[in-house]
Amino acid sequence: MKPEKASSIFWMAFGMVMIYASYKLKLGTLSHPGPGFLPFLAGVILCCLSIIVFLEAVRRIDEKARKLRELWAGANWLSAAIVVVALLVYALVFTHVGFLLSTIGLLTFLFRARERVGWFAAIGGALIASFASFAVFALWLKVQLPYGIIEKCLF
Amino acid sequence: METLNNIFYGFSVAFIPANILYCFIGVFIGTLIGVLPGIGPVGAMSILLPATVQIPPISSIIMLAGIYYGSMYGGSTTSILVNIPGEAASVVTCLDGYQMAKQGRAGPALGIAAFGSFIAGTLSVVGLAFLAPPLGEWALKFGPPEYFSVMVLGMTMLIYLASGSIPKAMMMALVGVLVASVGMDATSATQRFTLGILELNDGIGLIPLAMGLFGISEVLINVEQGLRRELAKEKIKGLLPTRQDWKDSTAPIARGSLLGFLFGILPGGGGVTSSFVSYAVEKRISRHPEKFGKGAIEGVAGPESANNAATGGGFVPLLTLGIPSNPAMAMLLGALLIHGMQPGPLLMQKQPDLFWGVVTSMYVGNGMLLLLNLPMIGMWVQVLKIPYRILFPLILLFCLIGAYSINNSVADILIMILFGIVGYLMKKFEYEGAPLILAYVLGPMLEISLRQSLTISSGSFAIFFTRPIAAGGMLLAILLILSPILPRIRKRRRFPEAFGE
Repeated sequence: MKPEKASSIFWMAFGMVMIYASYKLKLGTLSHPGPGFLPFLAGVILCCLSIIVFLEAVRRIDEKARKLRELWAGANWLSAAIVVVALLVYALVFTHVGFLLSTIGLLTFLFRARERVGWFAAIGGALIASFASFAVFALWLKVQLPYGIIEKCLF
Repeated sequence: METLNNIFYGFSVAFIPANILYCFIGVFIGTLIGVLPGIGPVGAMSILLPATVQIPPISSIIMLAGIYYGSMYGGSTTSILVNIPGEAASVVTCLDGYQMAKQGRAGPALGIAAFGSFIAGTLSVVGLAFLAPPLGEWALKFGPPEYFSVMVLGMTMLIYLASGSIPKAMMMALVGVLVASVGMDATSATQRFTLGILELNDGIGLIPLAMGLFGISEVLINVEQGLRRELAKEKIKGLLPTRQDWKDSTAPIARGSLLGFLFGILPGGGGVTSSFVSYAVEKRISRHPEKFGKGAIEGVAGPESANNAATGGGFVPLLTLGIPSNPAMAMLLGALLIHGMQPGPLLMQKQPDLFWGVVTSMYVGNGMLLLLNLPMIGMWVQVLKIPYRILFPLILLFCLIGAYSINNSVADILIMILFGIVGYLMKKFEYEGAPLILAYVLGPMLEISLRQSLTISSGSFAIFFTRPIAAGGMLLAILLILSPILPRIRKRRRFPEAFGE
């Protein structure tokens, strides 16, 4: 399937969901538009444009046109997926174990995960970056980062 | 005369030591961001936006503005030395700048880029100082229909100038309007599309959205593709352009400055468009167009001047109408709103220190950038050698801290990651993020203007076509949308004629 077909189907579905949700919010009248008026209009136009993009993709007979799987051909998508998972885990543990511990863990993992950096360099770099950013953001700029074991012992 | 008095007043604000410091921080970070591929000025501004909440409003706007025009300077360094644009507006500089570097002329290329940027940036600030007051007075005549049409025109221009498909760019603008409608409706106090999630009651924040779409997604793409950089090996010597270089570059710098300023004013315009147009103009009027692409200094001087002049031009609609002309200006608008300031025609009257302080700080900033970019070129070259595997975790860290610091909420981090994935997929499927972010920022104002206009006209859309300014904006927007279709209709009509039908 061509990428344009797949994406236009997605956006058409999204548009239809927004049309339904906006309708439930009440459209109001033309002289007194309600909270659902502009989202409804946007959803309708989005669906129409999705149909146009879909039809253009169908009409275009091009043997060299990209296929969906070619978007990830030759790309190390697993690295990107690993980064996303690491960020999600960080977000979930961040407030429980504190900024410093979670950040040291995240940076060590990211430095090690891609194009291997040695453990010593990874941990050393993670420690420097974590403490430096804590100093800049929490101590200087007064950003309220979550305190964990390390912060409570040191500060 | 009044403008001159205002400029002197502005200098008194800009030269406050704290403001000089924040200006320097802004232009330094901006240059660094411009030098480093992987994150652009919008991503950098979104990362630093939460930090600016702690500092005074004028200082924060001065710093954020410095990041924006500083990145234009820095972007040329990496384009010339590495053939990878540091940010989008420096793409064109790669064509001739890198060729000059390979010929051992990296120094003059960097030098003329810096000098051209300085001259153009200064001229655009002069234009801003003299054009903004009368435009602000004219804008006082704007009512809801006029604001609506100018915003629609702005989004339409950005869509029209999008490098990819126009229908896809329009779709992204509509998605931006829909994302902006999440949260409480300002008029009826109804909760919209919150899915029962408490954190969405205030809507989706600009910072997590922008950082996700532009910062996180860029990192994911670069990590996936394994960003490699090949530094031009020839030693950099002699940063000062020769007399012949100046002779060849003077006219392109002048033309680039004018083009850049005008394109910067236009909603939808900006550094990217103006640099491309400048390159095309220089190549068209050159006596030796065959030299372009092979190391013509005009191909560096013109576009680099244009993209810097566009930064000054971009401030005109932002500060006088409260309408951002491009995503970076949208970030500045967000910053102004976070600080409780409403840009628009009354800004000059109600907040003259902010307006004139920011304008004059740009004179100061341009001077700092010239000093930063020439003597410190050796340092920037070393920065370029930092491997991406070291950089990207740090970029992610700053994004995470930035997102969390807004409301001390993990929800903002999760929203940022979500939009990072969305931005990554958008890049894969060739949907542009710029229309989305611009429409997101304009969405609430657009909706209020639309609803007020329809209330005034008792539900008639004719109000947008009967008032002169509104009609002009709407007709131009319609023409822009229809213009790609017209050649196709003409082609189809000629096709049967050609076969004698």
